[in-house]
Order: sequence, then structure tokens, then C-alpha cells
Amino acid sequence: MNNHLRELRTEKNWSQGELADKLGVSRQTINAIETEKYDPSLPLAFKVARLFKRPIEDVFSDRP
Amino acid sequence: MNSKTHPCFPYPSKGLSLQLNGWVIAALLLSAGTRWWPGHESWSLIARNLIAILPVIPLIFYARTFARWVRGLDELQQRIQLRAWFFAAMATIYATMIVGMLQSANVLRLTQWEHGLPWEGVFGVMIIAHIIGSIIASREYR
Repeated sequence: MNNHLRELRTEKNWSQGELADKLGVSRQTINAIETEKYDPSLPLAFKVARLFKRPIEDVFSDRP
Repeated sequence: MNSKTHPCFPYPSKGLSLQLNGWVIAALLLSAGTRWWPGHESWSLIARNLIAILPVIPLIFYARTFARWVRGLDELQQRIQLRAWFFAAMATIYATMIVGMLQSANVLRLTQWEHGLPWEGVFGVMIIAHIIGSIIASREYR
């Protein structure tokens, strides 16, 4: 699954640690999602989308 | 999620480590106590069996404490722990199987363990395998 998490995070000038704190996950989780080594659960994906005030498909996509 | 989770490898907090170690020490002390208790050979079979499995009680609390810690982790760390425990379970099963096979084939003559491996050894193998499994699983998501 592809995602635009890194772009969205850098737009806000947040570090991975700051984003991790806002989402209540570890920095490793944010890094694994950004590098596409890990696909988040649906609740976490919705939480990310809500945090950035974007529809979920703007953040995560299953198309290359 | 536990906000003190290490960014690359989740360690239990100091308090939790103390609690976990405490349960293992309690199990070891109970085990040693029941083994060296004077005159225990003369007790009834039921009493001896019940006392022999007493160390399982602190080990159940150990598992409960560990499970609570895992429940407090985030979803990726929980996945890492699942993989680590799978690795630990498989490593322990294979290690005990191999020792058993070697003993059956008379390649390995462990006379002091002919009635089975000591639980302390099996538990130790499992803990070491869990640490190795955690490191391997954690590296995959680095």
C-alpha cells in the first residue's frame, strides 16, 4: 500500500517523533509506515487521515 | 500506548522488569525450596505432585504481567512481539526436540536429565530466543 504520510508530515514541519506522539504510537511505527514496510490498521489509518484533515484515500492508496 | 516505548526495540520499563524478574525469582526459589525441602520424599504422592508444580503459579503471573505490557504497546510493536514469541516457541520446541532425539540415539548422555529437561533450562532457552526474535522482528521494520 502506498501513502503520502512523509509529505503530509513535512508540510506540517513535524518530526516522526512528534507525529508518533500525536497518534499515540512509537516513532518506529511512523517510520515503518512512511517507508511502506508496514501497513497500518484501519483505525490507525483513519486516525492519521483525521489528524491531517484529509480523506483517507488522500493519505493511503492501493494504487502505485 | 506506552509513551516510553523505545523507538527501535520495545523494552519493558524498570518497574515492569522488576516485576517480571520478581516472578522468575519466586519460581526459582519455590523450585529450589520444593526440591531441597527436608523429608519431602516421605510425603504423599498427591502432596509431592502439587508441591512440585508450585513454581508454575509465579510463572502464570509472569505471563500475565508480560501480556499486560504487550497490550499497552502499539500495533506494530504488538506484531513484533507476536513474531518474537512465535520464534521463541519454535526455537524452544526444536531445541528440546533435538536434545530428546540426541538422548534417544545415545549421542548425548545427560544422566542428570534422563527424566526430562529442567524447566529452568527450557525457560532460559525461551527467554533468550524471545530476545533474539524481538531483535530480528524489530530490524525488519527499521
